[in-house]
Amino acid sequence: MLVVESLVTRYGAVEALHGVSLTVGTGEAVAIVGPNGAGKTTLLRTISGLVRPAAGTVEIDGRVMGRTAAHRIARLGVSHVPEGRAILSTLTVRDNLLMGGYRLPGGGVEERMAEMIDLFPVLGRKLDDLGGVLSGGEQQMLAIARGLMAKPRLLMIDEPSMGLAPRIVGDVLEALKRVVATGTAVLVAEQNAGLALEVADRAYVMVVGDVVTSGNSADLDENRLLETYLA
Amino acid sequence: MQQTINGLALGSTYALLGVGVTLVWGVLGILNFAHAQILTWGSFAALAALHLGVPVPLAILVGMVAAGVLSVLLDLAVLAPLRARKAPEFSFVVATIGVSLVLTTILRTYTDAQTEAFPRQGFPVGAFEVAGQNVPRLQVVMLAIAIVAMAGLAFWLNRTRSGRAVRAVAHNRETAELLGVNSQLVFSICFFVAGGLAAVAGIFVAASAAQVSYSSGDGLLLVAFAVIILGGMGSVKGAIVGGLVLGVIEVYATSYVSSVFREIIAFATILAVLVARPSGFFGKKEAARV
Ligand SMILES: Nc1ncnc2c1ncn2[C@@H]1O[C@H](COP(=O)(O)OP(=O)(O)O)[C@@H](O)[C@H]1O
Ligand SMILES: [Mg+2]
Repeated sequence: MLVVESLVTRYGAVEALHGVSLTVGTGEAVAIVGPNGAGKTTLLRTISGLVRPAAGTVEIDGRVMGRTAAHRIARLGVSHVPEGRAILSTLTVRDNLLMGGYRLPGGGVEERMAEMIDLFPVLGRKLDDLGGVLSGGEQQMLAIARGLMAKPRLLMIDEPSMGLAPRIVGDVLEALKRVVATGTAVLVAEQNAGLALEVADRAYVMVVGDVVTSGNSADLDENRLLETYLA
Repeated sequence: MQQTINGLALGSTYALLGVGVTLVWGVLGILNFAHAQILTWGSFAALAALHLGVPVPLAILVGMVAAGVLSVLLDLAVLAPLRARKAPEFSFVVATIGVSLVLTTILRTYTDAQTEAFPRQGFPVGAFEVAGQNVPRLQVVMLAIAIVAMAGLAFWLNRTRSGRAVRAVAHNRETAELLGVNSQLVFSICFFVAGGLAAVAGIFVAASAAQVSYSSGDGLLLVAFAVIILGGMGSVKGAIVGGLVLGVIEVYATSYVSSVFREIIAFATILAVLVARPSGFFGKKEAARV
């Protein structure tokens, strides 16, 4: 459903992506792993329209995005849970979820919210709390739930484990596996390759703006390719 | 007693001014220094409509739409490009001050710097008596409009889907975009509403003074800022209370202390509140943007 072809993104004179290509099939779980500064965040931000590419194309369901605004790309069924989670901290958990369902056509927002609370029961107990007072793990759950509210066909999530205690990382991992099990395609960007490979069927390894290798998660793991590149 | 009524009457004007500013400044966090000029242009648009024989309610509507459109144009032409390039807050201040100078100059040239009479026929003028005190009708209407506008704004922002989108954009434009919100549309709607409310305030100020000039808005901007800071940044009901309190303070200070204080009341209030209670009466945010 997502085809990225030779994507080049620049920040002024600095080129952060040197021509990155990747694909995510319908319902597929794919990881982008790589060290800090590899360009993972830039790649996700370019796909979701927050940053304009200098060259190359992003194709969603066969449609080339060009200069499409971020809110239009979101409405095509792409949810981007950004690095740092971007909780609307001055809005309640309920309002965060309702905002997640902003682009859901017609009614159905309340029902979808009930489904999300089934998936993440901790949120159900905190609906009236401000997003800003949740713990890091709860905020990550909220960010994922909010991303799922609009029933996306592709969920992109940037560094879901960042800043979380190992036990909480386990919870987030479980949550992502549940998302994949619902048939939603997932594109996860992570420095924590172990976590990413557990969620994803395939992975791309990025180093300073290039994809240096890719393959099935199991193969990448076995061949210790990651250690070569991420050492 | 009569002084308090006079103060509340003046405060009604201020409340109406504050409600217009609260959406763009208090909620979206944009200091628009051209707000007073947009208000003045709205008053002149209404005046032009009145001269054409348009009935008062329709003339007010004409003024509101004109100021609303002008306000949206200001955002689209000047502020949106600054946002796109993530310009620092300073740029917004300078740009809106620049726009205010341009708008003032155009209007001054067009009116030959003359003060125009503002017809009061059709406006609820005069006073009625309550318990032996004179209550001016026009100001009561202004207070009513301010309260209705405030209630409408509060309902919109807190209870509706599009109001929630405004709060999301106010919190973080990029996040709101990722959730499917057309943030530019949100800005345009807010600027339209703010411009429209500015025009209502300007028209009623013109009607109560029975005159309007290119410089009518001067001084009102500072008052509006004082109202918002007093009431609390981002608090819609704070704009009303802040306006009324400021009006009463001003009337008491002028009549019991000295009329020379009149000019500096708004300024002194801003300073006092920022020092003593930066979040105002109802604010959650501190007024750190001044
Ligand atoms: N807003 C920005 N302005 C300038 N350079 C940036 C910006 N964001 C990222 N970069 C640069 O782009 C490169 C890739 O960064 P990023 O996409 O954040 O990588 P990652 O998410 O893999 O850590 C880095 O060299 C970083 O310094
Ligand atoms: Mg990153």
